[in-house]
Amino acid sequence: MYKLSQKLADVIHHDHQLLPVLNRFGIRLGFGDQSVEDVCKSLGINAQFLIEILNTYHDPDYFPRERFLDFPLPMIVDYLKKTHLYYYTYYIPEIENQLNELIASAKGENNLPLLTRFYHKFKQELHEHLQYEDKFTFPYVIELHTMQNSGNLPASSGSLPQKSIIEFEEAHSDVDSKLLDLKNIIIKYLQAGYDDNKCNTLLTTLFNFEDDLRDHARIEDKIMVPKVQQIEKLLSKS
Amino acid sequence: MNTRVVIIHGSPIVSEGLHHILHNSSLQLHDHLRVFNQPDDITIHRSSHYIFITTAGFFQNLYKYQLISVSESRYRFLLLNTDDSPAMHNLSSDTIYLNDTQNQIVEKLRHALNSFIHEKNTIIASLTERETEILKLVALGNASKEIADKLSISTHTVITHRKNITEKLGIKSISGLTVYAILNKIIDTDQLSINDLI
Repeated sequence: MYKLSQKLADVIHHDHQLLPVLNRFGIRLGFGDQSVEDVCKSLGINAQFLIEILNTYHDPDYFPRERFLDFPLPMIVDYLKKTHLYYYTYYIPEIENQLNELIASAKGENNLPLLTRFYHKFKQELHEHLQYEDKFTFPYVIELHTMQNSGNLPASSGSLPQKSIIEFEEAHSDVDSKLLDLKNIIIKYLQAGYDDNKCNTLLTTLFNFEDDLRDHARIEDKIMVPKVQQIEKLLSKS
Repeated sequence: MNTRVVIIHGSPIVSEGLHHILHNSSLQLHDHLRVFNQPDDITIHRSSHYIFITTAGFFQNLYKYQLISVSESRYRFLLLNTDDSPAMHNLSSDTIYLNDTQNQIVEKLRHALNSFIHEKNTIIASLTERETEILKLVALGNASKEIADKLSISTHTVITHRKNITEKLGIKSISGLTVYAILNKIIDTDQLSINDLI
């Protein structure tokens, strides 16, 4: 478990998979010997939130549900949005590049182009899911939060949004299971005629992406959704 | 590969009691023994073996939300029969009852732990003829109801077959199953456009 007083450089030496998480908070390299807390202070980041996110990513067994529920919704939504951006700008194109390289490297008769077709299906679904959240779910969450904070509870329930968070947030399981399928098709059923190293690179990226998506989904489903439901309950009573 | 023993039960009397018995047993589980109140809080590590000690209801939950596949040989299930829930088909290795003695409980877990050691990985997931037939129809875009009509069996039977196919292959989505069917020449792509199928 990482602590606020620890040097951020030591944290990265210990688990370099956390680098993209730092980027989501706007932390860039070159932080010298500063502690996690000091780096956060100089950048105006909530250090407690960062350390909980780092620990959650580092240790899959660690998920401080109670503590996460204490952080304000806009902070959580902002983090989730940045994660989406990282998927758009890094993981999705990167997986596609690696897949294309794998296919280009293949010799003889093979079924690799079939994978591209399947990947596109997965990508399309993932895109729709992320875009829906960016366009509808997150603005809804922020709207509710503002309503609650301004003390401006609607006089009648007529001005309340008609939907509830549950309707916005259909399960992630479709996207998850397609990713799992893609991994299994490659691991179990790939046929001869591919480049070993390129295939390993692709699989490693898929495994990392899966881990990232899992943590992302945990924060949405177990932190954001319950918090929003709480507000919905309060508003519907007033 | 290390083995993790996970107790999941909503009642702390049951879960903590079980934890106490197993922790103090000769099994030397140390921190490989974990207790959870609900399946949601668990994260599955892909490099570990697991023995889940839980109720039928929570087991369903694990299966559904944590994407645990019973076909994977690294999972074992010990059914905790505390609420007289219906049995989990043949999926659990054994059942622990509320009135079991400490020794009985420890022995049941020991047995499950040993089953990892003696396993020879001989379970080969080959599809039956019927399953292959159904996979083909799924890959060609038929819904369960249509398959049921075509084969003159009930929709329920089709769904059971589809569950078994997914378990055996480790592929859940329809387009994933289609890829498998094409790779294994279960459907003929000479006359069909791949783009229409996936």
